[in-house]
Amino acid sequence: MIWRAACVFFLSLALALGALVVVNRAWSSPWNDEQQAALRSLWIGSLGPVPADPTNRFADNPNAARLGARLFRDARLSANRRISCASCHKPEQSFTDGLALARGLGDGPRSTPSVVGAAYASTYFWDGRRDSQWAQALTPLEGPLEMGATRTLVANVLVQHYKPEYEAIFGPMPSIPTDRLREAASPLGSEAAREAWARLVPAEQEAVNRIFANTGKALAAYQRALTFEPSRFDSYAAQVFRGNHLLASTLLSPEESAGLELFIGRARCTLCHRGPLFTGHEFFALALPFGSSGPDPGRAKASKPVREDPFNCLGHYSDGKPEHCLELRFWADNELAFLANFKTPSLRNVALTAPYMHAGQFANLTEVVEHYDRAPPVEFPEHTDIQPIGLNARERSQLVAFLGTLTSEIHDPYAAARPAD
Amino acid sequence: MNLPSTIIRLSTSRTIWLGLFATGVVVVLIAVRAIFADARTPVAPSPSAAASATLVKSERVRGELMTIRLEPLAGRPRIGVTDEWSVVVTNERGLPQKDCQVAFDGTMPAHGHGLPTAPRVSASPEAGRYRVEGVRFSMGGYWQLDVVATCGNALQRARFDLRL
Repeated sequence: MIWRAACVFFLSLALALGALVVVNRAWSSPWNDEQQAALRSLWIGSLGPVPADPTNRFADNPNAARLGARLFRDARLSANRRISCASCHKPEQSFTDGLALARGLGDGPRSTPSVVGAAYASTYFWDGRRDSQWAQALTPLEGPLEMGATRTLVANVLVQHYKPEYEAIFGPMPSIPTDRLREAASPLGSEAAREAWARLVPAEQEAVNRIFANTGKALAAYQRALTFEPSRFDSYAAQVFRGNHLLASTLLSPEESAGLELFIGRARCTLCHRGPLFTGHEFFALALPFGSSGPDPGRAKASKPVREDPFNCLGHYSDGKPEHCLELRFWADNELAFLANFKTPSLRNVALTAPYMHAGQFANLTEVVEHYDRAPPVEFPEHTDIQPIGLNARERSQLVAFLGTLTSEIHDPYAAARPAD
Repeated sequence: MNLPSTIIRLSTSRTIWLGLFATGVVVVLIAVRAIFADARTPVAPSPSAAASATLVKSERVRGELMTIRLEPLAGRPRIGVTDEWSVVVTNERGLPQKDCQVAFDGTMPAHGHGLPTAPRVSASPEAGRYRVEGVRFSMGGYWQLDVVATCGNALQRARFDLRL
């Protein structure tokens, strides 16, 4: 009797599900081949593994990532011992801060970009003034408006609180007398800090720089491990690829679906927001109004900082060979061409990261889409990479609705990491 | 009733039911997998429509007419990847031209900007072939690629149209 009941139950279920599969497949796809290819290019399943970083041989070392996760949350790495990387790159806010301008020791000139997926880029910051993730990670540590630490302060925190972890990854901690580390010394920063740096002998400077560089490499190893979970858009796309069109249609609303069609079609968003991270990591001029921090030359003024950075790909602390340094070898210096160019950010979790653009010029996504649609003209010497689209109000709101489907959790394998005692 | 035949009938019927039961379970599992599989599970990609592109042009400015061929080493132009291209210079008889001075640049006329990189041209061991390293296209759309080759007294210019 039980067998019969079970059979009837399972056969009915099988029939129902089988029918669902058949109906799903028979349901006509709203996407033609070209559109499906566009969907696939944006789908998270198309995202390959994080590209190797030959400049950081600890980039994929789990111990380095674990150390980096602890350092990321350690406020002792700042001048006032109250600001950590996580103060602005807040894990609970998709690693941004919700502010128009980053707030560290002071208000910075630009907004805090997310760090998730940044390992796929080859230049860093809104203006591209760093050429690796670890060189990027070092910059806010010494930035006077960010964490404002000195290089000796950072080295001292590592020596005092992280020596065993450090040595397990990087080998013996370079020896330097503790009293030398207590003095605030840095080749950048205040005059006093620079004078103190000049008083260190070259071997001491080298030791501090080495510890400092490895701090960046650990921070980068951690940030490489942060990944986006699939969003609702990804679930939708996966069902479309399987031919489960009926099921897919339950995952996006008609408005969101119409927004997606505009995104990959008439609105031309994928020219710059391309690939599974919704960015090509390139620099463009967008005819933007100034932010509250005033005019910003963007990429135009990045050449000198990236070339002179001692922690760049060609520098002494890089593990790469010159042939790995594609950005520096083929760096374009033309300032006028790159005036007011800023790096395209990912759109994953964009609904969580208002306000928008490099200086928080727009409060919400509606304003952003309105700007792209209008594409105001610019005057020489600026150029613009955007042209008017000609959307109506409904289409603009459809685009905004679609952007909301890119929200997902972030997978942080080291979320439980805490600073050392 | 014949007892052995009843037993056989009973066991046959049990076998059929068991078979149906197993079939039902398998169909359910397959259907569930087909519908609810992980959003990240790779699906076989559709074949790429991108074709290889070799661009050939001859535009004499001065001296002997030469042909300039432009080839992406990756087989096709790619967006967002720093690639190496080749410039091949041949004369009217198809002979490779060595010791030319070759210049290369790319622009996007509709946007008023050029390549995001500054490519470098150098000679290669193969006569008439010149390496162009550091070519990257920052976005899709219409690009113009300019090559100027000076070989002895001949000056050759070629402007290639590229739609990405």
